[in-house]
Amino acid sequence: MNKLESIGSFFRQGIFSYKALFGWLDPKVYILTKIVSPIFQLIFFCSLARFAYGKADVTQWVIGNSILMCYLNTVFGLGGIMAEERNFGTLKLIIATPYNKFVSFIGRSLMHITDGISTVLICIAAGIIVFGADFSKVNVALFAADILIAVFAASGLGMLIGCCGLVIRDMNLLMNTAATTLLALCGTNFPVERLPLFLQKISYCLPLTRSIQAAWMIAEGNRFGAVSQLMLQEALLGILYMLAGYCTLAIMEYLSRKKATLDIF
Amino acid sequence: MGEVINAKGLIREYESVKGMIKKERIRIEALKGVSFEVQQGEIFGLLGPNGAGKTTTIKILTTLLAPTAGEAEVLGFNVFKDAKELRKHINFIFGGERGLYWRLTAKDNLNYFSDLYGVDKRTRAKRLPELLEMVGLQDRADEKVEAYSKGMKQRLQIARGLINDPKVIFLDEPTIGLDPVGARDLRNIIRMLSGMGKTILLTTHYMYEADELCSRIAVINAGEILALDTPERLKNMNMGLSVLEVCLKDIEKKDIHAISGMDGVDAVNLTSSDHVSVLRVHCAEPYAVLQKVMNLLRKYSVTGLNIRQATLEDAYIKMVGGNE
Repeated sequence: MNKLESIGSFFRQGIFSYKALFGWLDPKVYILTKIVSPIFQLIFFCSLARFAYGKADVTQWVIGNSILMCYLNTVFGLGGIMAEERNFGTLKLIIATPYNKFVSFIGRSLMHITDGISTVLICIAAGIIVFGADFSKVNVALFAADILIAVFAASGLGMLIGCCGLVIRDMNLLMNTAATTLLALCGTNFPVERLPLFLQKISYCLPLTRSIQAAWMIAEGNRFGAVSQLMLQEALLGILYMLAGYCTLAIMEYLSRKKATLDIF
Repeated sequence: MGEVINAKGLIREYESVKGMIKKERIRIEALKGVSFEVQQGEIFGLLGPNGAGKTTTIKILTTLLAPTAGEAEVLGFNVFKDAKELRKHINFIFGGERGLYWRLTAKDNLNYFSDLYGVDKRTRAKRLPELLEMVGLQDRADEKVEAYSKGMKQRLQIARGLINDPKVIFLDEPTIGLDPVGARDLRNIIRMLSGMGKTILLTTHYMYEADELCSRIAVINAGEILALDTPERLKNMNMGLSVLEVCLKDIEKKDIHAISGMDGVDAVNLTSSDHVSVLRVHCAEPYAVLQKVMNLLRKYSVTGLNIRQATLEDAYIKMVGGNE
């Protein structure tokens, strides 16, 4: 296989895997899971914020909750890949191929990153329609870059979780814990600086915290210079999570062969 | 002919945990020192009942499982240390309907695995139609797998298993759950693969299948190889023996032991299903023991009686001991 074919194969695998594993491709399931449910979650938290803080303008919560919603793809989509493969009985087939599993995993993340971004955009649109969120001062290109970095960083976390699926059967426990941790600690609905110190430290180890802060600043009219540090740190955090995922995958593959966990249900 | 598979003293232990608060670790020895060699181009059968260690052996040889002790080489590669290199040259097919992406078409399934095995575009363009034709799915290649029958899924599994043109193919109970026609078609494909020079390791618990396909058979039970020979020689192990078959509703263990202790009785085993048990008494002179056996079974409801020559299946059942 030459280089051009390898690149084609990399992208094709992502598309095949996405089509093969996710029932979201069914219009009914997609509308309910990726549109209706996130919009209602957004409405809930924005209404709660309006009531609790007594503010008419809930743009901050629209932005925070919209970006947070990418966890549907990044945490549950990517995190559940191994578990889904196991359900289909294809996990052992994938492991037994000579293809680099981590490269395969990255290929698979591309569709989730794209789909995650679409969910964020749908939620923002819903926030503008339902709550009149104000994006008049936003630099669109910078805001789009921030969303991309946010979804990329969250994908790193999802991949790290997903790798554990080689040896852990009940992936829902891990994925739900990660999702609720992001919900509670990313500063979306509760300010990070008001959290206890040790939780603040955890907040800044999580993806999305910095990109949400940067998004708020961009919405207030700030330019790249003001948010660059936050965005770069977020991108770096995403890379660190991916590297951790790479090491974890190698360890988990070794353990799965030692502990015979590829077929456990 | 060269040696393609070499397993030496394979041991594999599984550990499970019992209890919630006071946890107790249980170790199960699935393989207890399994050794065998397979020659190039051979169809080698691993024959044994459920839980005998057949799948564990295949998983070790296909790099999916590390042995607890012992060593195995396939095509000269150590199955644990050289797994990455070995994976390019082998493939495996597990029985049943899983192991395919049901939401994809047959063609997409094969394309996906072509990517994972690094099959280039030109080779793929030639190989995919050939494989689809070989397994008789060329007309339904663009349909989603979820619409396929069990036999079609199993045939697609075969095509998937050949996507990288492997030198060695591992087949784990490939005909399980198939109807007789589907099973026969699959056996024809296996014969065709052998004709193409592929080395095949096949596990099955169907005696006739092993007899029909394999050049050599290893009978495995409880993690140990009980016999390893050609089907003909395994059959000869029972030459001159007859089997007295008694169908009855139930029988106490003490009576089975009493029959096994009778003069002239070679072996006894019992296979039971929901409504009927079949007691098989292996002996050289069935009419000499018939009276004694029937006297002992007088208290039971005997529904059938048959005396026949021992077959390869009897040799197998005698070795693995039925399900008694």
